[in-house]
Amino acid sequence: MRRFVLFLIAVIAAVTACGDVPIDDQRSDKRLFPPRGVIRGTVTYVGPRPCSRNGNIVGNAVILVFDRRNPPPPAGLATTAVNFVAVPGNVLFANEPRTVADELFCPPEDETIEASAPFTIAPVDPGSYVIAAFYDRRGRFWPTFKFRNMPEAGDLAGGFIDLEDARKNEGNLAYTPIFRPVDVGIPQPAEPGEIPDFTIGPNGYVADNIPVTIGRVVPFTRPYFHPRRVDPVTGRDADSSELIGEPLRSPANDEADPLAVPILAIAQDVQILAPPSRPVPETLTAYQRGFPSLKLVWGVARTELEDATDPAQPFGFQIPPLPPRGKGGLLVFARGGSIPENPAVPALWPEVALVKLADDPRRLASDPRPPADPQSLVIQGSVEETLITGKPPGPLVVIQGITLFDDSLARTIAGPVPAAPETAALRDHLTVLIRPAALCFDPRRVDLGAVLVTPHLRGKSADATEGQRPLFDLDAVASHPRVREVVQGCLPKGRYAISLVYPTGQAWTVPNESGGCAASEGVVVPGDRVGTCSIKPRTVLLSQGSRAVVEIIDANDPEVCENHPVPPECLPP
Amino acid sequence: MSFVRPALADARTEARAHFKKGMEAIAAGKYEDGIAALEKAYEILPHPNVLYNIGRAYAEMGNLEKAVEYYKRYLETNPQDKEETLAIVRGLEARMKAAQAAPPSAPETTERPAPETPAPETSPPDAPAPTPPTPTPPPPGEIGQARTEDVFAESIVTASKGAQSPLDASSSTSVITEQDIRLSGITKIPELLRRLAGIDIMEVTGAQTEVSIRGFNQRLSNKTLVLVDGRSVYADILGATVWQTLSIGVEDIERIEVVRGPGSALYGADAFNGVINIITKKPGEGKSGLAGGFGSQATTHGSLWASGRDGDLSWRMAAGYDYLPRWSREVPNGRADVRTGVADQVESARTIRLDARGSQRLGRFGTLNFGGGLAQGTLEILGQGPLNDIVLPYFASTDVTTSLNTEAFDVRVFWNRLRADSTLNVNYLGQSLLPSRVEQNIVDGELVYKARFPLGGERTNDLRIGGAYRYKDVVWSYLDQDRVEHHYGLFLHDELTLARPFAIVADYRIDWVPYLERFQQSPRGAFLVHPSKQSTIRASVATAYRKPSFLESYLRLPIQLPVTGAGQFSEGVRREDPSFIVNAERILSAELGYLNQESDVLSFDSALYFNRVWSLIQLAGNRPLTVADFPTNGRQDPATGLYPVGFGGWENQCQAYNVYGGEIGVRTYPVEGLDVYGNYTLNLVQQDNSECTPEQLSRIVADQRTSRHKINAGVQLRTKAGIDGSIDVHYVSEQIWAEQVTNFVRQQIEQQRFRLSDYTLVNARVGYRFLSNRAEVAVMGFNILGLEHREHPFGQLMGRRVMLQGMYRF
Repeated sequence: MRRFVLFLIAVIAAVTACGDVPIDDQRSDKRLFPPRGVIRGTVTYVGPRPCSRNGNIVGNAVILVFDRRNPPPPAGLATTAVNFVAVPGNVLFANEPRTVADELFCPPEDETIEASAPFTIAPVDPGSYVIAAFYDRRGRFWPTFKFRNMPEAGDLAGGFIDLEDARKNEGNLAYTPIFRPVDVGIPQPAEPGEIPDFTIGPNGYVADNIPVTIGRVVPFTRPYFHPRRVDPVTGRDADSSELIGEPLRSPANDEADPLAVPILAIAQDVQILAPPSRPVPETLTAYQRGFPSLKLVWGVARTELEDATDPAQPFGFQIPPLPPRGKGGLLVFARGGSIPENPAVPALWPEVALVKLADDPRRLASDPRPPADPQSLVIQGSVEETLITGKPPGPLVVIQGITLFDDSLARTIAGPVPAAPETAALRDHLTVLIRPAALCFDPRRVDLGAVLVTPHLRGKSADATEGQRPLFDLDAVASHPRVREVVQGCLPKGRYAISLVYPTGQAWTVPNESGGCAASEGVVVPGDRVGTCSIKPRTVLLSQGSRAVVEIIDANDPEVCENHPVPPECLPP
Repeated sequence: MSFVRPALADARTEARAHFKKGMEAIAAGKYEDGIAALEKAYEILPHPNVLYNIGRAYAEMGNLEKAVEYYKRYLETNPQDKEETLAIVRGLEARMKAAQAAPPSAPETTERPAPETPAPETSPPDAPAPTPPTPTPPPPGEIGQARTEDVFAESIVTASKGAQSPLDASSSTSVITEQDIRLSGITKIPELLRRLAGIDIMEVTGAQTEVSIRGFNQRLSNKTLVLVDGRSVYADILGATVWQTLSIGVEDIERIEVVRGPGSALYGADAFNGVINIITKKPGEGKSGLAGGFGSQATTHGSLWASGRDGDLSWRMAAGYDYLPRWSREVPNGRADVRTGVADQVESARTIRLDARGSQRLGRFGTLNFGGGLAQGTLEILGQGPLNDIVLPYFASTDVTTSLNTEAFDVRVFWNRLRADSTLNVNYLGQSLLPSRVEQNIVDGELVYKARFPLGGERTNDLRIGGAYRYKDVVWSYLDQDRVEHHYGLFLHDELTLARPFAIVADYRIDWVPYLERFQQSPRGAFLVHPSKQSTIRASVATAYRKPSFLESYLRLPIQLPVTGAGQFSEGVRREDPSFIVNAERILSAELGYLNQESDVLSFDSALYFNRVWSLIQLAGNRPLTVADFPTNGRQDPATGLYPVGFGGWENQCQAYNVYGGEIGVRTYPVEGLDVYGNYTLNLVQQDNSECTPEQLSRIVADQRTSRHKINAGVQLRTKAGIDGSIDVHYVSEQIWAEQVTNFVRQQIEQQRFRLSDYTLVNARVGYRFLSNRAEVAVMGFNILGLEHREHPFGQLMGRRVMLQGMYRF
């Protein structure tokens, strides 16, 4: 009996002594690492020797991953990457000599070196991506803030691009590289020409051996600007974003906060003149005056320049202290081709886009709380929108501007317009006409195109001798790649940020963080030259602040919007 | 049931009853009965005094040969009164020689000397006849004084830093005995505590069990001070007890004392809601032996130990090995998108232990104790926040301890060292595994002066005054810099017996806490009434605090976010606000208890308490990076290349908790060989959010992490045939945990509620003793019903485990 018991015990022990343990897939904290995607490869730098300071190589190879369905400007509208990694210069240039001095030392740029380092970006959702990259030569990259999250002049740009095409365009300062796709996951069936959905299997997915090349010197600075409003009658500057506004109440500024008064307000049923059938200077001038317009002035307000460019301060804008008289840093040059709605009007760089901001419910007078987005930074359709509205992200709404050459539509059409971003293209400001139309994108499927909404399809001709005419060539507009449908309806109300975009992808957007205070910094306290923050004092560049928006306000004629309301594709859920 | 031993069940109680019975019989002159009873007591629970008393009884009855034998066995235990006993032995041997030298004589007619207590009954001689010479029983003065003190009475040292009965303790106490440990078959020390009322046990991984008292348990539990022979094993770096770093195994434990309620008044910081003191077997006592076990998922346990004496020097050495697998795995094989900190995703801990202790008698100078231990191996831990699941591919924990115990002073100095490498268990490729290296050196010294002043009549004053110093040196990759702290403390413990049945116990301690840069005071007071000799009604009020750990004080750790290049920078010392500090956690407790040990077959313990707990430390809300942070902490971290997007760290909770609870427990020995216990714990938490701002309220939820109801019950059975059994049932009611998680959409750290279903855990063991009890084999089952459950919402899914165990003593 005793032996039997012992035997039984031994058998029980042997049976239960299995070596493995089960996988736990029921955990309530979701801490298990679900299968995700990984992008892995090598970044190769080809360029001048890097700068150094204090025994360290200055700068990083910044590799940015964008959803191919919504790539960064100018091809798309993405303002932030879905993921990024910074490969420190100390890693990329592990064997490069460096200075131990406190001062930044940059070797002469007459010698080209090559350096490589591996990179890995994870986790990444299944999908198709493009990879842009640049080497932040002066170590000025600061991804959190719009004013320092992009390459600057002297940096080296690249990405996972078509190198052959890039070689062919060597010397073309306005070159836009062709990004090659990086697919993460297994593609699912899709319509021809569409970017398919992707899935990831149980073991994850690694898009491996992705070669990222950085080697193209960024030739010019970002298109720093601040907006001004021009009196359409006198043609003089009527308001500027750095000035304290009149405490005017508007739907999106219900409290009449003088620091949030839009630099330009446009009724959501805005009516413009139809293009004249006889484009002569007089009719073109009349046509131009029919548009709401903005004057985008190079750099910051004069009083802010010193603080904006001070390297000891966080901004470090690349604005020369003494620009050539009559010149600025804005490069206005031909894009090639014309604007969609009028083949007579050439399309110019920089591209101007007004992007709708999230509706901040706390800007209503009925809400006693301070604004949730006091700096007017959160784009509608972004993930952050939920933080402001408490609702799922709404559509991405963009109103595009028409860039004029030397403030004149007639000059723009007549030309000649500089064909490249050369010295002759430099301007100290540019005038942009605001199209009375909005593109409403599903933020998850920007690649499918937008619903274009316009309050009117016809209007009185700019030529007084003509009657009603179509405002634009409907077919031409409807066939534009970014437009999937044209709908007559009023424009979505709200505040719109203003962006200028160069073909290199460099862009500048107002408002940005330099112009306002975050909630934890306090409220903006205006000063003589610049403002400051009440809790954490620091310089505030009011020209970049929350006045630098265009607001679409109530319709002049409510009946228009009753008959043609804002389409649901353009409204938040 | 003839195989059942004619005895009660609990060894201590059983031995105590036999001892009492034996001493009474001897006092009555019934030497044979008395000696038999004492021998049973000694068999059940050896104690030198029992040998002495047996020897003395033999001497009294005139069997000098046996008397000498037992006195000599007593001397083998190297007693304090060795010289006096040797003199007795020499005297007895002389008498024996004298008797042998004398010619045969007529039966003795002279009367034996009367025992010190009433004379034994003697039978009249039926047939007087010539007999060989027998030694004359020596007079009482030549055989020493009987050792009548109740050596088997339950005694604890943790409640007052001195031996006392639980009846005199100012706090609610419990003891896990060596028998409880052996019969349970449990090989993880914290699991042994599960049977006690008011104790929260939470096994979160195969190797990590967290222990708290009266609630507020958590991953890396930090509110209970754990001692080994009075030496704090609190890991100051984390503010927790990492049980696997102890250099002892369950076989090395004599008993575990648990003191419920705040203990800062005696032990300073960190004895927040109680103290657990593991008392190890004394050098020179007990046998040598080895034990081992092997079971489910290759769970392995092995121990061997040896003990001996050489004159005044006693020693004990032990070594052990443990392999503990995880309950469940995080990562399946074949994943291409992740990497792991260690290759083996099955192992939860693998440790080796070495422990050597000794003591040297110094005559009137007292006893010098010395020793050291080492535990080394690997470990998996569920931590907090981003350190959710970390592994230590290597750790080594060592201690060197020495103490001197004299009549008036206790001096103790120890050095604890912990070295470890750590890494996250798993992360996506390209994401940091947050590797770190830590070395913690603690040197702790304490001097206690003990005095007992008679105040006339029944009044006495038992006083202890002490001073403490603790040096902490921590080098850790996660801290802003190497940190050194010097802690000082003064304490006073006074037990004033006014007049039976009343007593007052007062404690006061003041500590200098360098991080807080202030003195922290911890008073405690208790009023005891003894309605009978073996019962106590106790009312007490106490406070305690837990100082911020090194992690909470000085953390600086860039934590990679799902966006590969961005990080959340956790900082204890906020660069934008260097004056910010996290305050100590605080508790105020009031308790009313009743303990009754009047009966030999039943003991009853109960307590009602109210705890007010506030300032608990938690992860701070995210402080988003602002432009204003540029000059201080807004830039890229040069070591990791990460760019900050926000800052975290630690903060005190705005919410406070009122806890109303109670414990009731019974232990009984209804029939021979049977030991039954049962206890119930009630814990009601009322969360007080009145001090919270609307913003804070948006980030918190109601916390009901402590079960309202807990029931423990168990049976131990020992039979004469050598078959032992035990079964323990633990029921834990539903818990709803408020755990802090990162809400990436809202970009903040917030509490979310995680429900944990109630669960029942049944553990059992069946063993068989043979070779005169020197050998034993057993089967132990943990969670034998196989009821899968978690004991923490993020914990591993626990199933059934079985282990075959064996032990041999020599």
